[in-house]
Amino acid sequence: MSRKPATTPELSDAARQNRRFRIGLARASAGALLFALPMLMTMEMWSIGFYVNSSRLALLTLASLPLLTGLSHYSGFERTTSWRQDFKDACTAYGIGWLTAAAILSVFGLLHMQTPLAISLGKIAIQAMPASMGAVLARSQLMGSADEPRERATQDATYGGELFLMAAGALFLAMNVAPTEEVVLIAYKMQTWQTLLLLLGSVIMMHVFVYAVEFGGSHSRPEGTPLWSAFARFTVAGYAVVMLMSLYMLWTFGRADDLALRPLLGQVVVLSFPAALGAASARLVL
Amino acid sequence: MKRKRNGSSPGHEPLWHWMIAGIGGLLLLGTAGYLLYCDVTQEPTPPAIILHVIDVQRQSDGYLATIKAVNTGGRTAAQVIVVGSLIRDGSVIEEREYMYDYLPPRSPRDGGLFFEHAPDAQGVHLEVWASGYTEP
Repeated sequence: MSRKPATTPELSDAARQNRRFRIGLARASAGALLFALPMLMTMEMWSIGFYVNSSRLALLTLASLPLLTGLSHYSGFERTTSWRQDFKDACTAYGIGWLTAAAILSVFGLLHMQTPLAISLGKIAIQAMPASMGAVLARSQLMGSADEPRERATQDATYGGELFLMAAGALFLAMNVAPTEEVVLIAYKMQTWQTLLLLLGSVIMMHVFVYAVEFGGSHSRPEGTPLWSAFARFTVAGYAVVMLMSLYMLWTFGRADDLALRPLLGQVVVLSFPAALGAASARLVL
Repeated sequence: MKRKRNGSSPGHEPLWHWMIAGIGGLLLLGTAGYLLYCDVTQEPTPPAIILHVIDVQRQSDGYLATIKAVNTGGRTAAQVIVVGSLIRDGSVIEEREYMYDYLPPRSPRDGGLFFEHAPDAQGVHLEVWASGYTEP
C-alpha cells in the first residue's frame, strides 16, 4: 500500500515530531540500560550509597545537568537546534536514566522499604549518572539511519567542545572503575617506574587513538598543523583533563580522603588509564 | 555552529515533551536537594549498633537464633562482627559470631547464629553484642 492518508501539513508535522520523540524515548531507555548495566551489576556501586558523602553526590548529580546538556548539544537522542532544546533533552535523559536505574535496582532486590530514603536515593543517584549519559548518547549510538541521516555535530566542535567531550568520556570510564577496590590495589602494587610507564602509555594511547590510527570518524590532523601542536593542544591538554576527572571521581567516592600525595597520585594515574581511553574514544565515537 | 534544522521552530514542541523533561528535571533537583538536605541536617555521629534476638527456631541438628541489627548512629559501619554467647550459671557454654558487610544508618538488617544448645532453655541466657567495625 503506497497511498498516504491526506492530512494537513501541520498535523503530519506534529505527528512525525511525536513519533520521533517516542522513538527517541525508547532509544534513550535502551541506551541507559546499555551504559549503566555493568555498573548496576557491580557490588561496589551499591555499597557506595551507604557511605558516600551526600553533598558530593548531590554535586555530581547537579553536574550531570550541564554535562548532559553539552552531550545533547554534540549528539543527543533528538535533533536539537538550540541550547534550550538541549536543556530539555538533558532533563528528559536524566529522568529516563533515573527511572531505569531505579527500576533495575528494585528488580534486583537492592532497594528496601525500611532503608532510609537518603540511602536508596544515593544508590539511584550514582547509577542515574551513567544511565542518563547512555540515554542522551543513545541517538548517536543506536539510531537507525533510514529516516534520519546521521549528523555529526562533533565535526563542528570547537576546541572547548573537544575538551568537553574528552572530559565526558573520561568521566564515564572513570566512574565505571573508580568505586572498585582494584584501583587502590593496583596503585599499591605498582612501583614508581611502572606508574611512570602507565602514565606515558596513557598519553601515547590517547594520541595514537585519535590521530595516528585514523579510525573511522577520527580526527585527522588538518593540513599544516605541526604534530607537536596537535600533541600539546589535544593530547597533553586532554590528559590533564583526564587526570582532573579521575581525581574528581576519587574525591566523590571518598577514595582521596586522608591520603598522602604519593598514593593519591598513584591512584590518579591508574584511574587515568581507563579514563584516557574513554576520553580518546569519546572523540572517536561521538 | 552549523546545525540542521528539523523544520519545527523551538518553543513549538508539544507540551507532553516538556512535561517529561519536567519530570526528569524534578527528579534531578529532588535527588540533589534531598541528598544535600540530609548532609546538612544529619549529624555524622559514630555507629551505634542495637541488637535484638527476634526469633529462636529448633532445627534438625541444633538451634537458630535470628538477630536484628539497627545502626542508630549517623555513619555507616562496615564489617560489623556480631557475637552471641549462651550463658548458664554465669559461665559461657557456647559462643558464635557472624559479620555484616555493611550496616547503614537506620536500616535494619537480619542475621543468624547457630547453636548446639537451646538458647531459650531454662536457666540459659543468650547475650548478643557487636564487637567491632571498620570505616567503609
